[in-house]
Amino acid sequence: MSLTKSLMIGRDLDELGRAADQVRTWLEGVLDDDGIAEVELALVEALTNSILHGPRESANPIGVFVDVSDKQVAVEIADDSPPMPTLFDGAGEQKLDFDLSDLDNIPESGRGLSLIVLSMDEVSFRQVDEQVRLRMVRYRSH
Amino acid sequence: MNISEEMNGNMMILKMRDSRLDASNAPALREALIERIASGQQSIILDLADVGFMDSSALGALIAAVKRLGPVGTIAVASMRTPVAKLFALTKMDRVFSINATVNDAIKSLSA
Repeated sequence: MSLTKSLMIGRDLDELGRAADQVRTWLEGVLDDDGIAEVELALVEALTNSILHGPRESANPIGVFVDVSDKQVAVEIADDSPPMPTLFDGAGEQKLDFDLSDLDNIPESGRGLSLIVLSMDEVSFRQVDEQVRLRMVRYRSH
Repeated sequence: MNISEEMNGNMMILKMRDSRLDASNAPALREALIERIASGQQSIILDLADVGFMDSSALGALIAAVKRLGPVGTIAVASMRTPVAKLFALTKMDRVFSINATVNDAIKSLSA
């Protein structure tokens, strides 16, 4: 089975639901419900990051590219950001470990990148034409 | 932000009517909770039965509320669907909030 789809969204948080709904539709029958939900979480966290922290001066929309093969689902995001090879360094379960007995010590933000890492099997960047894309891969055999 | 509100004794039950809680409505969620805490509400039950998706921004709004409430109050969460329950577990917030299968369970838990 193979499938290649893409959509463009504006740099607006109100676009998150539309992007998530579209990707969910594409992945129906490709992944189980848990898999789709985890891809959706990674997608929304990544798009939120792009919208809030990506290059505000860019006039281009944000591209979402989905590629399905027998082995995996790859979701890529192109937002005109420069290369950020160390963005995910240290992200993961250890970044979500806080002293839960001290409420004041629990941060309200900063979990997005770790949730992307925990939801997907591979997270990387790749160059496509003139753009750097965030590439998030989920294996179909879970 | 679409929220319905109901009182049960001194407990406020807030039913989230939006199916998605993400960065687009997290600020409104945070404001809605902080507003109620600021007006003296100390026992809040969040009914999440209608919420099919929640992200870290919405979770941050709940964390801001529980921090504002401090040790004198409680925010209980009820009727979480699987993706939302997984978010709480992944982020270990299931150890910070009182997690309940149903609103009635949350009421019993806060009454104890």
